[in-house]
Amino acid sequence: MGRIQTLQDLKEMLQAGFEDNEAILARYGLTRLTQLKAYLLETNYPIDEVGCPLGAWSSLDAGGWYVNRGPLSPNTLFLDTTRERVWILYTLLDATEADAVTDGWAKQIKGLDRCWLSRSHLLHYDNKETWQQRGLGLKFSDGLASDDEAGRFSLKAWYGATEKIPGLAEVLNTAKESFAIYSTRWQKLKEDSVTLAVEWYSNGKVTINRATDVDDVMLSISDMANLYEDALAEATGLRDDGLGAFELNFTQSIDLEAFSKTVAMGRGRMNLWLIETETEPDFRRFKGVDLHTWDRVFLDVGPDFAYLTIPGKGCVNAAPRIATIQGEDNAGRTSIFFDGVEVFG
Amino acid sequence: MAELDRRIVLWRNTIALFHERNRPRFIGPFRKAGYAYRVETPLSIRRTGEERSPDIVASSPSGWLVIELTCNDHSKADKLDSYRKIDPRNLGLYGLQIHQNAPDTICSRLSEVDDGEHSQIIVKDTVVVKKADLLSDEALRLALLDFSGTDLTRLPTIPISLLPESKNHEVRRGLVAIVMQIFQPGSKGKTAYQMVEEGLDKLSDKVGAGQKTVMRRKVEKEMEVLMNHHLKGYLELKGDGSYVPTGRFREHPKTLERISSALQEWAYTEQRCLDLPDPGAIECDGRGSEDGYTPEDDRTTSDPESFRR
Repeated sequence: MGRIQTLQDLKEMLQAGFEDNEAILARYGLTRLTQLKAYLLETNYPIDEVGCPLGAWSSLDAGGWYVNRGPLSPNTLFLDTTRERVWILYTLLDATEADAVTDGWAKQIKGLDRCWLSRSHLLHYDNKETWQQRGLGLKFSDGLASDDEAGRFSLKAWYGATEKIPGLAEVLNTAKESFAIYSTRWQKLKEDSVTLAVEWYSNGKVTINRATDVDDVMLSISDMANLYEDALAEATGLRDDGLGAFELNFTQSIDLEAFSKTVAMGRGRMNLWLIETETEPDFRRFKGVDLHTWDRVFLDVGPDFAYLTIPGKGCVNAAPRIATIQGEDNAGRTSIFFDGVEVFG
Repeated sequence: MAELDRRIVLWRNTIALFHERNRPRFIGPFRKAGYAYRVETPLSIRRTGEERSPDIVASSPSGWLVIELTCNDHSKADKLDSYRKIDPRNLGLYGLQIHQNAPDTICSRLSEVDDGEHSQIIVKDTVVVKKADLLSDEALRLALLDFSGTDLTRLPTIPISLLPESKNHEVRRGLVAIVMQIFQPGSKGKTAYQMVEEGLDKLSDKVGAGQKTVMRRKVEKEMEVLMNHHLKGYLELKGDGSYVPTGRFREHPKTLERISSALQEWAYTEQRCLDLPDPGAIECDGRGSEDGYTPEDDRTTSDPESFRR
């Protein structure tokens, strides 16, 4: 791929990809463009302390924008670091490689994490006049149950099909209330034409399925980054101002015994390594570490709720991460509250 | 499982009264009356400028208050009397609403003691409110009376895990998660002093150097037992005073489970046979008794004057 020197180069190349403009794509050594994807990343460090997952970062002309250089897949990662706490990683790598690079980077760097989008974030466009929901993905892994007994649920639905099968819409709505949403598909309309079609995932990834204007694409992704950054700032303030805890409300009942066994070994998707410190039949207290960051966390767990306390300067991104992963793994639809008010929403 | 840490429970159950929960439904009376709070906030006495750091200071549109938290069985009347002279004009420094009158003064305890002409909340398992008629804020008085009798056993854990007066078994429980962090791959370990700082959390700035030294010694004593008995072979002490994982540690579910189990045994079962006399209790003011109790031990406040003694 040819060199991208400026933010304008990047936009020109992406726009050409949306329009299948072979002449412009040829300037960048391309005949077609892989589907554009972006990842929202939560950071606690400046770019020079984090490094690049593929090669080294090189600045574009616009402040806070970087492109990867080096022998491995150069000019495929584009990083917007213009926000302090939430970065946007745009990439033209194929989906499998892009996911692996992003996951590896977040795992390798303590203080760098995915943004974990709540139901409210995923349904952000719900009441926006120009946006229309086109589908959703639901997930429940029943991760605390044994393999033989696990009641897994996974579904990806396009909304068009609901009209063809009577009763399907009701089933979808019931499932939506009980299980965690892990993706939503949206399209933006202008004069009855689709100008943008995207799919947002609960782990902060977005795929651009169709677009007509690169600025429109970047603006909509930036809006989500801003929303998440605001939520982080709000949650950090709540944690710093007092000694309160975040409250997670679940729709599925948790098997407390299985939960205790799983977290004592640091097993499972939750990646929590906890020690049970108080035991009641329907309420248990745990202390330990969040293995994503090795920050301390205290978790008090009831059958359908948990209180999450993050001591010291531990990153509050643990709240949406634990809520999202635990929701998809074993707790169903999960909401985060502080003093009765929904946060990260 | 050993008896719960009384002082941590006292703090937890008092702090919860400023918060709200959906499940189980719970609205703390201070929250209901519109109070925002700060912990261990330095304030000063009107005219003299003498510093006072009440455990909790809070204000609402209809009033302001200070709360003293204590497990001590001596009266806190004198201390609470002095809080009445705190200059309320400094509340604005902490984002709290300013009032002109003297604060309502409340003592929060786990059992009843006569605290003179000050209100009292007993926050053991269920809330008991005493002398609510002394409160000048009517909204708060009604909220507290309405709340009396509420169950407090299932409230969120607070981030503070060590207090200056924590005894040996309480120190162990406070250290559990801090020790687990030492096993982070690539960890440079932690010194006993770092552990004290982390355990104190928001109280760290309010605790004097002398008291932290006492706490550090308590931590060193308990870590020695952990290192040489429960986690022998997994944890070692380096020359620079930091506790680090040995080369034997691998991040594997079986290893993590083994360490979890050892930490649980160290912190949550009786360990009298391994305990030496508590050096902190004796060095604090030389008035230690057989069970490590000193009057200072029951002070949950981090009164800087006391720490300088």
